[in-house]
Amino acid sequence: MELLSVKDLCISFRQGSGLCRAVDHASFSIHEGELVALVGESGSGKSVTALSLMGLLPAASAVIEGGHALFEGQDLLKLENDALRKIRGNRISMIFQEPMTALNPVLTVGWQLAEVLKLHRGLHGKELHDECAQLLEQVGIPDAESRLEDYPHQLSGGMRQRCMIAMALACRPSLLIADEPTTALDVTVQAQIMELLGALREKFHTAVLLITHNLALVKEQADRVAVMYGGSIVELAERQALFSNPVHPYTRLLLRSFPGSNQRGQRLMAIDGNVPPLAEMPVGCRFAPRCPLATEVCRQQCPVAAEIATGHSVACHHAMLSLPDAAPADNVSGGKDDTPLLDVKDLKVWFPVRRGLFRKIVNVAKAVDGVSFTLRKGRTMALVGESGCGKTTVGKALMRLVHANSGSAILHGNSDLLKVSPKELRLLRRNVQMIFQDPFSSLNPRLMVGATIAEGMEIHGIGKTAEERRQILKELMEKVGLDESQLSRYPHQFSGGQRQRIGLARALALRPELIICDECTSALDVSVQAQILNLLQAIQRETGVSYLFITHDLSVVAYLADEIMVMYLGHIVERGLASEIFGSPAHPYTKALLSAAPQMEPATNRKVIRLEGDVPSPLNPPSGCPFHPRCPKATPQCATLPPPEHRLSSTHLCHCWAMS
Amino acid sequence: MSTFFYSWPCQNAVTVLLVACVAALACHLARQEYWRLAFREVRLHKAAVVSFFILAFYVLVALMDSIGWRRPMRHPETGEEMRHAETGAIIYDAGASALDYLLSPISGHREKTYSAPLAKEQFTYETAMGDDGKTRRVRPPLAYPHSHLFGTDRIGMDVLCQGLKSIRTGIIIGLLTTLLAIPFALFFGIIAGYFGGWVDDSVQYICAVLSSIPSVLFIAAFMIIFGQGLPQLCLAMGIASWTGLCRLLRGETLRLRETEFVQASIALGSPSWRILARHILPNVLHLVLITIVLRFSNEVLAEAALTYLGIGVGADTMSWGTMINDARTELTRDPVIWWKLSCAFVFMLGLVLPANIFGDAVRDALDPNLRTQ
Repeated sequence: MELLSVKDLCISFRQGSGLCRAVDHASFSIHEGELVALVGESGSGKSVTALSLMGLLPAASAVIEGGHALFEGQDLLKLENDALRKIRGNRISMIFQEPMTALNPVLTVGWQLAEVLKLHRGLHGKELHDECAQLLEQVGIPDAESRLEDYPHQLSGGMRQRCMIAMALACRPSLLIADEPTTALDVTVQAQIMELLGALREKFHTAVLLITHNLALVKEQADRVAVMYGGSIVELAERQALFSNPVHPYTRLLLRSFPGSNQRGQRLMAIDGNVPPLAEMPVGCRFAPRCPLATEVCRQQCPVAAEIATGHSVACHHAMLSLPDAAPADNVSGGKDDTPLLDVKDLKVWFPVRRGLFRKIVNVAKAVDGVSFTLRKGRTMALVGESGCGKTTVGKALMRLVHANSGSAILHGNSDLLKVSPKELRLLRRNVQMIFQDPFSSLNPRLMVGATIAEGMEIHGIGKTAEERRQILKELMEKVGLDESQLSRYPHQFSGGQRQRIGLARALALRPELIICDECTSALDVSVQAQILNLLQAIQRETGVSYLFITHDLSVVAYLADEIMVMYLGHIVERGLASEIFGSPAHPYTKALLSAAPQMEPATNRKVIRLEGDVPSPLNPPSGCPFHPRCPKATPQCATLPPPEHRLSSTHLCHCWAMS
Repeated sequence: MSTFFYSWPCQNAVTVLLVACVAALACHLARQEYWRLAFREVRLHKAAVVSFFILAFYVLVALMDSIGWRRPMRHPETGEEMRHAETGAIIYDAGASALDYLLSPISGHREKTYSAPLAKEQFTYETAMGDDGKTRRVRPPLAYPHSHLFGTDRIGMDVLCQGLKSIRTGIIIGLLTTLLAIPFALFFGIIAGYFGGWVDDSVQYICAVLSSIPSVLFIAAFMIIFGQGLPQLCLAMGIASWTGLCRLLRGETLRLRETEFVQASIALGSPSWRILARHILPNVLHLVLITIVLRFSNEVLAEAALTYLGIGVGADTMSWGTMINDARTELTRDPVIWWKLSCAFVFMLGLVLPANIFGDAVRDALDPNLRTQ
């Protein structure tokens, strides 16, 4: 039975003196107990759609221009506030992306949970308390009774999201809107949350509107999928149909731009350009400027959604045309040799925790605790791990942005990056550069792009004259796919992907031999991520630069990396060639990590290895093997001694007691 | 030395230099897109534009009052230039500012004593002999009736002129104090935030000590030791007030130090001074500008209060503070003499209110949180 039916929803935002259409004639429906996914890149209008259903759009700037949303016989868009309040949190509830800010930090979890129950179900006293405890138990929080008294900061991210789900489900709503519910969480926690949602859905028969940008997640969880672009739903289909037979060029390109191991050695199918800002949306088909199939019709006329098969509708003038193939990469293996470039031995970074009047050191956080590896010329080494495992600290320690307590990092077999004097270090910095995660804070907003890129050249005296530097700048801009004329612009005039290119140009200006990429694609949309990954590979082929690729995104690693290190709580637990890690993972943590990540590749009947609990604090790491409290294969021995290094092959190393 | 400092050529040179500096800074900022955008946003704000013009008027008056020259003394009857009896050199008078010369028609209109605004007669009664030979209490007619917009004071001086002459004092206090405070705040705030460690500790310690002294007590002590005067007052108020901005800048620098663009610059091998100059300073400049504009009005008001307490500028310097101080005794008279206080009030309001409105507009335009990119 149809639970929610949205028809021709149009929402605009006031901008300056005009109105900008953010959602354009969106129509979809959700049946009882169904999971419908709303997929799209940032700026596609998916969150706005969800907020309009809850009546949570900012009244001052948003205007609902048309359409209706029928839910249990009522039009949600026309309800008065009072009537909406009766539905909100009761019949329809919502969970948000950021579990850190969705809970009020000064109230206990129990209090916040009780509020919902008092309001909508009129419970009180012992009954209320019992119901709260039961709800928390339902979402898998151990020791629920005592957790009710906890404040949000005492819970981990995953636990908080569980509490949010408990609150959302407190009144047994018939529809749950989940806005990027797992984006801020690690893959292993994401797997826990999605499993929980699935179980609860089965139990209460709740329909879910899942809003996400993660295609792999959609592929594993959704019943039906609506793909949004620039405010319109471009394709709507059953999951099976959508993934096996995508029709709209955007859907097809999006699926192909998703990196994975089966695209290794090929260029990813990137979509040119970016999602245009609302005010600059084209008149005709909104995807036309980025579409390889676009013709004059597309630019003039907005396509109307048409049903091409039962339950499969597409809004495109040229849905049936075939797309050009991705250009095959040139000889990928070229330029690689086995000469070691950087040899890191026993790197340790400990942060002291000081307390009291005399700043006495009361504890140390062992962020990185004995990491060793070798980077080779022209290769890509990936450093994978969940948040808080110390992977970023490794990168920063190698750049001497944080102080390493011990260990060595020998460059070219002669100079130790961690020990050289500041003067020598300045010279060595030419060889090792870094690109950062956040494209918005990695460029100085007050400097012109040209000045940002030229900074390193000025410091190191690359290019003798201004004219010579100008020439180098021009070449660099060309290399990273930007126009020379953009040198005299400011960072805020660029999109996220373009800024990441500028960051890359800044690093390349010194002609480094190693670039440390710290989560450099995780803030980007899939289609833009593909552009950057292609660029990184092209530059590696051209210049023979090595990458240390720090990331939590396993699909990017599967696509890009030659070698992989898996890090857990300051330790490398497993290290090997990409084929070895993905083909035959040895460490229980690696196995769990790989199984937890949703995958795009067809016919993977993966069985999620569920890890209990959360990553322990590095302030108080477990004894012996750091992974033993969560390890499904832990033995008493694991808790006593750190595991020995075990060689599975000349390139494959694993630190685990179960191996020996 | 100090006579040279107070001489007209020196004052003129300082004024011209100051104007040139401000003009150069404005040109430099106008070339940067960030500031151009901010300026455009301020221009859209009607109240801010009006405020700007009012402020410009005040600044113009202050500038005219800062530039001056000496004129040859002339013989009161023949009008000839007077010359030194032996050397034959022309003898000059003490000189006056451009504003004085401009106001001379009004300021020359001296009355005998108090008169109400635009009055025809004197405010106080005088004993006069009538035609019939009897003495009567009368209000004698004014020498220049209906010409004193804010009346005259006890010695018959035009109050409007005093208000206008006080503008320079107000502006100098507001500007000089902030300009004295900012280099300290900028230097210490940035190095404390950027270098951390013992540098931070010692700067924080100095700030804590300074801000734990009540500022009125501090200024009073300073003025007693170094004597009353405009420069001393500016210095004292400057020292008493830089800690707040210093802490603000330290906090902002702490945040900036961790941003990725600063990290990237370290990774490129930039020396510290370069990072401070190119990456930190331009990114805290908006805070400095906002502080200047918002603090300006505070300083003007503080001067009035301090002078009223008797620890501000000396009685020989004309300022709104001294006017209010004079008004204290006038207000106890019956009927009340209210116009001197009103004049000071109107002039102060005319400076402080636009400064606040303009300051708010500047802050809104520069605040990255409010700014939509």
